[in-house]
Amino acid sequence: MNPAKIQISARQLMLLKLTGITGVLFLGSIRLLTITAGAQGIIAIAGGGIIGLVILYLAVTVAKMFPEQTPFEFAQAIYGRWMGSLIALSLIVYNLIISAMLLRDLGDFLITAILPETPISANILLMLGLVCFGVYLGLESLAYFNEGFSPLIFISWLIVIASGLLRADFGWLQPLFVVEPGRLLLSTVHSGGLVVDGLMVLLFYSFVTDKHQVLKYNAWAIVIATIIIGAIQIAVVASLSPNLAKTALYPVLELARNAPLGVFLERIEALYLALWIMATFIKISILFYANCLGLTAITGVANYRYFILPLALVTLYLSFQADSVVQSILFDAIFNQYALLYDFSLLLLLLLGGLWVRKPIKKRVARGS
Amino acid sequence: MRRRRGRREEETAHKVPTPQPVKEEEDVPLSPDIRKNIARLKATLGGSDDIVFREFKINNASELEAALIFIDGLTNKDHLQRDLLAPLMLFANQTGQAEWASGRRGFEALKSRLLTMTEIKDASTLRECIEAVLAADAVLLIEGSERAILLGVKTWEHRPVMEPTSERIVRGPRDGFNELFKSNIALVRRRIKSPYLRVKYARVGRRTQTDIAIMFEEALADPALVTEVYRRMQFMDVDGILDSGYIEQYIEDSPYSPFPQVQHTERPDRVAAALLEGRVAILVDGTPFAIMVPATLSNFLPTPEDHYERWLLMTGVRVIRTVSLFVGILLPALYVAITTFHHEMIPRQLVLTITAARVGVPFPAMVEALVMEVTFELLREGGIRVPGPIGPTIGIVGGIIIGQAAVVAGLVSPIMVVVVAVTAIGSFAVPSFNVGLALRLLRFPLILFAGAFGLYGVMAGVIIILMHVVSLKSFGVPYLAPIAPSNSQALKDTIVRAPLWSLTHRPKPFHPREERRIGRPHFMQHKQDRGEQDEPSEDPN
Repeated sequence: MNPAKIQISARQLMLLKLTGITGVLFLGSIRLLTITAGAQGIIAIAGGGIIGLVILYLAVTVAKMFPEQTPFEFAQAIYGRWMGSLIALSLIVYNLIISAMLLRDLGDFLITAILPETPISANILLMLGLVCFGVYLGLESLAYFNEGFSPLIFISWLIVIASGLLRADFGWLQPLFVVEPGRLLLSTVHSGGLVVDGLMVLLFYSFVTDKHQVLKYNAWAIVIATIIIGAIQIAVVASLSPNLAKTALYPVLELARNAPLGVFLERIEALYLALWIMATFIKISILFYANCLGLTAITGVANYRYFILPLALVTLYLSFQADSVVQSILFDAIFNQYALLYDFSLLLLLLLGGLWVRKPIKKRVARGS
Repeated sequence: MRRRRGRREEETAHKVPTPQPVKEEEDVPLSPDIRKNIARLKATLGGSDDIVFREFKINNASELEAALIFIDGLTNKDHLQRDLLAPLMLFANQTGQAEWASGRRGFEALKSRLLTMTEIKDASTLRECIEAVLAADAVLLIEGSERAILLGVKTWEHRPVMEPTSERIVRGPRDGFNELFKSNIALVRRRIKSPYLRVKYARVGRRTQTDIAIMFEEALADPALVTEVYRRMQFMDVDGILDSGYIEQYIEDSPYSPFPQVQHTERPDRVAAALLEGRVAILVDGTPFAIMVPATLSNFLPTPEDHYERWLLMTGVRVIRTVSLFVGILLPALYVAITTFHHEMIPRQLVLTITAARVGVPFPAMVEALVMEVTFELLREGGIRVPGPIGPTIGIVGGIIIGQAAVVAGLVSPIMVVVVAVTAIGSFAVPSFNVGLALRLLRFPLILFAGAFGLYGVMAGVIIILMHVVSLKSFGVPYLAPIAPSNSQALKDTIVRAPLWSLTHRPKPFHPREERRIGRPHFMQHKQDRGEQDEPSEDPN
């Protein structure tokens, strides 16, 4: 009955990850994929899925070494106070950039798609306020919220994909395997970054009750996410044509807008958007929450809620750094390429460090001292 | 200055002395001297005219003094006359007990041979006697005895068992709780004839000393839940409890939330159903409303008859009810958002109709919606307060006349009147009054959000509400369970109502001690399980 330590289930973590990956697809990721891989984006997505599984395995292996600690805490346990704090800080900055990027993308999207007369700052501020409220209520509430709503988000994707495929011209996908290997590799790395979804498993592994299920559930999350992204990619290219998929600012929105159900109710996409905005809220809140945890680990302050407002101000500042939509899109494209590299490097660093630290302990245990 | 002091003195002089609750120092043992005991009781209970001190002699010849103390109007005087005064005053001599009635042995004999009452208890302190008198029992003091006899002779005017007015149903039992606490307990016990049904009495309220009963099925209820209920009740240090609503507000988890976290009902069948799910019920003397904990949001949406009718029909009704919940909270906000920001979402013909209807309306849609909603709330509140049959008339006449007049005057559009009316009907379709109330309240900020940010604002409002709802807990149980955290078994009885025979398990969120509640129905039994019944019966010839 007493409020114990915050705990979520492996299934809830899986749903958070799935929402985190698929919920923000409407913001422009699909266009980036199409630009780099053309009609063959599906191959890159499949490759990205495999990369995602490898990274997941790596993340779970690292998290298992310190099952009761967040990466911010065990980075310090491995590398000491200063070096560990530096690594934790890098993770915080990484999450901050993603949060700010998402906020900015959402603001741009809203003024482009549904609220052309509302200032972007107002849209961003409203979302940031929601995120602060969500983070204030904590991880458990975010997980419950997502558990209740993620089925609707997936249903919305299914409708959009199905309605897109109904009017698809699969000739647009021909011929396969004509994209140059360099671009395909770049696209694979990009989609890998999408499917991996940062380091969510690593960040929240310590809060999971049934830890033995994490790998299985999250592997499923990556498989399902890969299928959804692949299906959207196919639907976008085959329904809108590769050229429109590359040139449209938000191809997924175009897909939803032209869906048969949309013709019946005219601009039904606003209803899908409502659900996708919820998903964006979840994704930003989760990253924000992780950052608050990181700062508590570094500073030793007991209550993470003290960091909500300062972090919100920093995120707000960062989200206004891009002068225009174009600049914001360019930054997204560049950052996405390096995101996967950062994920991989951090995991490797923690894995090697963890093995180094745990080896003497194991030896001592074996000796019985 | 002097005048002010004079007035203060005057006020003090006329001030009615405030009655004090029984003090610790009054917890003194009874004296063998009956005069002393009577004097102490009179001093504490004051000069209240409704408190009767009936002094008499047990068996006139013995000169053994006794006194009966009770509150006039709260005790059954016929009962006292027939089963106490008559045996003691007239027949004590015949039984030969009066001579030794002052001793310990005599005291016991008096109880066991002379008093023909069913409820008898001993008291040895003044405090116990005072509390018994105030709780409508009678107290018998006897000269020479250091103990008193407390006699359960409570009786007062009360409503009979009637159909509950706030939870009417088409099919199902018609009996409802009344203000008599023990009668309410009996109504529940009549339904659950289990040896594990536990009823624990307690008294709450410093001055009201209200009787409450905590009921639970020991074989089903989570012991941690029962302990938690006791713990929260222990911390209730209040002046008075006049309704179960007081207790509800003291024991709920989040007092600042608009959503109720404790369920109340007037129906004994509903309490019985809750007990069978492993929940705990609290019955309070003087009110027909029992409360049940824990309560999740899905507990507030069904009605008892959902389980009395066939599952397919009730599933349909529940889906309609869920839709009405969303209509009740979202419709005006969606209307404002779409007409203000997203005209392109609506079919062209409908846009033209709405635009034509709004021609000449001087307010933006948001103001129009707010004005209409406030007016509707005024009508509803006014209709409730107006006495007797005029209330509903005011509601209907006011609604029609004001709505029509506002449209004709060009203050609001006819479509807005339709939206507000449909919203009101939607909120009425929610079975729980307090959830409906919360929805009515939350509609206003949502309209403001919609007026400022369109659908994005509505979504923001919904996120805030839902985040708040998922963060709530009722006695440790997540408020949105079994949707989040999800539980497939319990989900069968939320938005849909699966067949009764498929509801094989009690709702897991309540952590019942025994999870399985039913076996398989006849049509699911394996042929072998049915045994020889299916075999053709042998011809005896």
